[in-house]
Amino acid sequence: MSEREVRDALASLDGRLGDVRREQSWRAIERALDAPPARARPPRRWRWPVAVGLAAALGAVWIVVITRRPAPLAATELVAGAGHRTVYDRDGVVLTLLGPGAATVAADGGDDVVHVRVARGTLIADRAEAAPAVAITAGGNTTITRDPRFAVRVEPTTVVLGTGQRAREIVERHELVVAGATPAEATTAPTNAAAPAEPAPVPSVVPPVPAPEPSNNPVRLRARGALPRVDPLPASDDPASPPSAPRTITLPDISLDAPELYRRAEAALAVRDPAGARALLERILHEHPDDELVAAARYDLALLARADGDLAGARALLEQVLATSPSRDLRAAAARLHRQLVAPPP
Amino acid sequence: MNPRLAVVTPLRDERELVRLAAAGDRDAFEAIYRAHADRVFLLLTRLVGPDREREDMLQEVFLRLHPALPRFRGECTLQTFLYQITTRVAVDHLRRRRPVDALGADPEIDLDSEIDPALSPADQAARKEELADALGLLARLGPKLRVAFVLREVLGMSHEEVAQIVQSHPAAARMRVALARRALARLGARKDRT
Repeated sequence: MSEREVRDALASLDGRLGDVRREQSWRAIERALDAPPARARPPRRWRWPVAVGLAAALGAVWIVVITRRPAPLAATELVAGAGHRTVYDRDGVVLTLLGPGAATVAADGGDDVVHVRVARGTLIADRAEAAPAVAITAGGNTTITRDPRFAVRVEPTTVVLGTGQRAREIVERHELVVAGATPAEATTAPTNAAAPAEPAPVPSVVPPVPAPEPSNNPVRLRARGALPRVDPLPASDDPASPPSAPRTITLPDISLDAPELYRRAEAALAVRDPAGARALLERILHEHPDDELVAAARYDLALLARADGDLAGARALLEQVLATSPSRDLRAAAARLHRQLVAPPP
Repeated sequence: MNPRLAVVTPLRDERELVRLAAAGDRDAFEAIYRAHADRVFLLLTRLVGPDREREDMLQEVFLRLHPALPRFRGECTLQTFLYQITTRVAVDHLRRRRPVDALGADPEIDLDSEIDPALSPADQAARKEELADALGLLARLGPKLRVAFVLREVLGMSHEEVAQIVQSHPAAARMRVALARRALARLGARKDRT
């Protein structure tokens, strides 16, 4: 069944209300509007000793509960050296920072969102079902996600986003081996029931890695498995010398197809993030220049540019749509919008 | 009891009606109801299909409208305001409703009411299957995509109008329509292969 057939079937439904149902509905509405409000129960007369006793009991409970409530979480700095990982979890959100990297988890703002800013490195966010959303800021853009698994990699000039299967791929390729080290706390790996089953990666031979220095970081550390293709730390003759340059870890590229980028752009707009939507739409143009969604992405970028007051930019994008889009509907819409932008103000 | 006649003044300014209804004038509110009930019911039908609870939903729309009238400042037309409420009522209903399977087995859907008894039995069966298939595919979309698709593709509204009704950015409305169309094309193709 085609989309047109679905549309035609819906359009063929009999949507007439009819006189009888119209009248019946109006009478039901009138009855509901005329119904008296629920009668308030007369206040009970509490005997004052009982009232005083109850107030005292509530006060005692309040003192015990409020004074024992843990202080709101302060901001937490996450740092991971090359070849290491740092794990932080809060309220069902587990953040794994793969080094070399640095990130900051903001203090609990009471908005049911875990805010994290990634300066560099790879951050993987695992969310339990009822856990807060995660707002990841990197490269000047903020992405809010409710995905069960989401990853972001920050390099000096690139911010790459990934979720689902791709994020799992990153985790599998970067399991750490710490020869001879005892993990600070043994934990089970986070499971992602939504991720499709994949064959386990074949580990290559990994040279032994020296045990890490004790970390002052208060969060848990995990160490599992073998890390393929990791360059060993260059030996240093002077123990007091400054740490050597961070090792380079080859990360897989996270690429999203055009429909997924388009869906994410819509989700970004749904959370009032036009800048994030713009970045995702521009990725469609750069990464999938031949996709059929390119023209639609240009049109949507024109709408965003117009909303920002960049009329010249909007016109330029619309002219590209007019020149290249195979869709007559889209060209007609672009032509209408272009005329509005060109027309002098009344 | 004699039925009350609505004091319908077709030439009365819509803003005047809203002002009076917001102040408690029942006749003005009834005039609003009579002017818009049919369109609201049609929109509900397109959004949720031939659901047996459409009349209840129609009443719900106007019962939500009544206390909201004092907040209505005329930033959009009253029809758009009503459509905003209607889509919210429809989305709430769709979220509560059990999914319709391909055979239209949901008891809340009254497919028989859509079948012309003048058709032959074979044509009636074909029509019923066509509707069940279409509603089944539509049920696989999320409520937001479904609403955007119906407003744009079935009712022919512009993206700006759709955006006003769903209270979103025009680009987001466009995207929802595009995503709904792609999803329906994919689901329909998959169904045809089975």
